[in-house]
Amino acid sequence: MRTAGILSAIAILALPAALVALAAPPAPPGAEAPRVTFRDVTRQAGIGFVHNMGKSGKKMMVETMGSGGGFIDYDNDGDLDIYLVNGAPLPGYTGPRPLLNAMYRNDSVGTTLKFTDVTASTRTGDKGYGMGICAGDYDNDGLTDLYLANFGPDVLYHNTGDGTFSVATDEAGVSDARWSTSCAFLDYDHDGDLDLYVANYVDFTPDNDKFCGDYTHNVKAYCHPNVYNPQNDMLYRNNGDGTFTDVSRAAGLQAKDGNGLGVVTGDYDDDGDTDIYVADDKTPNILYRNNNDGTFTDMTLMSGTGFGLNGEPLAGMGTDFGDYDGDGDLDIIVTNLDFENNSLYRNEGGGVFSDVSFPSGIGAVSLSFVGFGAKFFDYDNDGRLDLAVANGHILDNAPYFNDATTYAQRNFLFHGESGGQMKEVGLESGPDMKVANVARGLAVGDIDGDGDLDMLFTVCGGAPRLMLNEARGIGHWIGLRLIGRASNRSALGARVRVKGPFGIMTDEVRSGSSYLSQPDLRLHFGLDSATAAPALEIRWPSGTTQTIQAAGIDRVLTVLEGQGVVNP
Amino acid sequence: MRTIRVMKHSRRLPSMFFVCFVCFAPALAMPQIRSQAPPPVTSLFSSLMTQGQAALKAEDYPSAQAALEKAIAARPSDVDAHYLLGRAYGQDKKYQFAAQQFRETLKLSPGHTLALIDLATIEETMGHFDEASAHYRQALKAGPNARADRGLASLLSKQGRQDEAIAALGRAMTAAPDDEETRYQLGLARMQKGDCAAAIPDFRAVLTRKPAHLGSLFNLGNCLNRTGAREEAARTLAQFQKASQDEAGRVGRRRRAYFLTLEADGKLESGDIAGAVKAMQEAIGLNPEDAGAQAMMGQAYDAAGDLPRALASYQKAAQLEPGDAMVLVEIGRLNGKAGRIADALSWLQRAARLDPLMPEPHMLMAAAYQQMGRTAEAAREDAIYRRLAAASRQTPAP
Repeated sequence: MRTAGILSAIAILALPAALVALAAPPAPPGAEAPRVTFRDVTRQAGIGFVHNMGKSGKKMMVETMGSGGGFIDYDNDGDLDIYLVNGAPLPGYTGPRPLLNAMYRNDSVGTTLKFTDVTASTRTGDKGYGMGICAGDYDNDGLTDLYLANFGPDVLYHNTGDGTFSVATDEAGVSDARWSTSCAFLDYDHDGDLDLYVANYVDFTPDNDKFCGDYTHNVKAYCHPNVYNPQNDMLYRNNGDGTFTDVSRAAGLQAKDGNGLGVVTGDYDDDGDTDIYVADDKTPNILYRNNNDGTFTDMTLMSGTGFGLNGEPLAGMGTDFGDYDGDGDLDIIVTNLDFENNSLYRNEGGGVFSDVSFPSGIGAVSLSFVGFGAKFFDYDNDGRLDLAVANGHILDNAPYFNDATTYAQRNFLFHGESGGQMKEVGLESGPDMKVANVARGLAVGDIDGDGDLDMLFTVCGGAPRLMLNEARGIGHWIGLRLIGRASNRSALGARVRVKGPFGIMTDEVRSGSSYLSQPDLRLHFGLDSATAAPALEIRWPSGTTQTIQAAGIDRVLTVLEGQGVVNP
Repeated sequence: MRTIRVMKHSRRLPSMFFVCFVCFAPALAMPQIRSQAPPPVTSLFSSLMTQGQAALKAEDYPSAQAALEKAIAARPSDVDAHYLLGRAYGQDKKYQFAAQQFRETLKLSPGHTLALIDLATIEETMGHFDEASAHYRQALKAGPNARADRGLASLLSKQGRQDEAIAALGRAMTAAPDDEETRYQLGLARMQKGDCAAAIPDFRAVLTRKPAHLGSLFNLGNCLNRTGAREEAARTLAQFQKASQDEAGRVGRRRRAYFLTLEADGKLESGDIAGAVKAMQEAIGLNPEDAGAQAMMGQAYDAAGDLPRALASYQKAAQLEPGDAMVLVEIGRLNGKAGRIADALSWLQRAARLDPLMPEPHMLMAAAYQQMGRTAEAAREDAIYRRLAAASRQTPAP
């Protein structure tokens, strides 16, 4: 099964290579800084999905938390398909039915974007109340599988390889009927197959719905999470036979409950194993250090990543790891509520982080916005990580409580600058970036294969927003698709170091992250004006390190563990 | 919590008084006597201001808001009432309403330093830095002010201008060397600049005076950790964790009690008296010092026919919040119901003194006097009641 998968994976890389030829040439050295704009191409690309909250006017808490989406290559043809998660009817709902998740296959030709709704043919239209999605090849057959974290029973979709998915939840033993939110596949025990982390939020159900808001005037609002009880998260160990075992307690992850919303995995202490960070909503965020013996240690307190600047638990929503300051270790972004700042925790080494939200420039601008999805990426290929944040208030009647705010809000785009500074440039990034939306999920990936990264925002109760990067004359780049052999097939947890224009760039292959969303599993490094193919150092989850001299740039390289580039 | 009770009283009083009339067996027709002059607005205003300030001090912000809104209705141009209402909203994180009240304050008293600073603080919280800066600076024109200095420094710090923030806070420290918040902000600014060694003494100094200061414990622990003092960092962060969990537990208990009170209110409304009593007993168990919950407990016991417990709950509520006239009315009514008419009168008179424009004590006093055979006094109180009730109907709710 594995061999066949590898061969099919190798075979699919022709299309991106062809598309690379259409990319705009890099700017000559010394040219004026390129201006990058993003354009909403959702409808033009044929994506007609509209998220439905399944609401009835009762303002049940789950309605406003939104659903995610992701970029996945489910058919192994080398381009990114899109999966969008939907709500489901709540008690009292009278709108159209059924409400289904949707899969869109990327049928683009050249730069002409075209997505086809293949929900029915792929059998991926789950009817549950969907929240998050994460992707990974849990059975190492070379095909990307999906996990759906639902409000209600979760779903594991097994990719059968014939263009369809089958529901494998019960046989795999990974159904959780509680309110799950974000999820991530990871190989925490380095046994070569993918395990699964699922964050759970609170114990709200329609039966224990509470009245929150202005009781005197009977104006209901969505509840604060601490009105309900926090839940413990789940860690499932892959048994290697298509089944999983709940090891949450044995691994030391159930010592405390939290209002988990965002999950990101990464090796923050660079010791070769995958750690876990959970963004919690009004309970402390949690940083779990992998002890490399099947257990984790809660490092929240000593790391300084659990709280806001004044020691208060913030409303953590989305999160991501990224080496924004280019010092070789992973930093953390967490989005929060308005009147709180989004938090940027800089990794100082030694397991310690410092809160640099305000000094970096991301804090002040976020005070009047409610942030959800967050993703580090290099949108202009200049070799420095940038950051996008999906915004939108949780209260659809927000102005009733504060007329200085709005339900729909514009998204942020931060440009990474020297000295660890981040400059918010959303308003300068095209008219569509100024549009207010009630955004929740955020994923990034190169949807048109032109060498720059595009964004997908999911919108609560609305159409998603596929934002095409229309950069012209930006820097060179290199993409990497890693295929594990001794390691898990998706190479989740593989760490790559590339020499970039400002030093060594570091990133890891990861499932999940942001808020309820799945980014492209391939890695992307901006090289700015470099024309020489860089050397790549890959540390695989199996523990082996591989150094590769890329044969060229401005292309996606496929690297097979222990072998090298298989599409030179 | 108070929000419920304010709502509840206005909604439930008619049925309550129906019971009450039966209990007091008042005369159906009372002789009309010459009306007394209406109670002076001044005393009502003073009473409401006292109530509002007491509630604000007790961190009972909804009650403070209710009282101060009434105070403003009684005297719309009072600077202090607008300012205090702004504080009550601000502490309750209703920033929009708070800002509105501070602006009203500044319209009436353009140089009002506290209003300028509080308005600036809210603007800072909302990310409106330019407006905040202007208001802090305007406040400083009146003279040295540690809060305004601290606010300006905080703004600078949030804009990444740590050196300027540190300089401003240093000046503020010189002006007010014992101001813990200024010292804390100085520590924060130094820490954010990356100078933990300089920040540590600041956090320690704050903790000397305020040992449970969450921000100082947290950031001292972080800074000790960053400077390699791992063991002390662990101890400090453990202290922080405990203090933080205690605070979360306190807030959680209050929140749970609040929702139980809402639940009880709904059960009373639907006639599930036993359910209401049970919910309120649980709420009181979680937060026994909440006057509103005690009053609601009294109401539930009363509905269940448990007069002694109802009275005890209302009396506890009155102890916790002596300025709530409605609770005194309830105690009076229940004493009357128990046949202790003299006691009832005493409580009702206290209520009437506390809130001279409230009609209900007079209605009940009329009934009580009538029952005692003191018809002239009964008629007098009845007339007062009718006049105040009519006036109350004509006055829109604030």
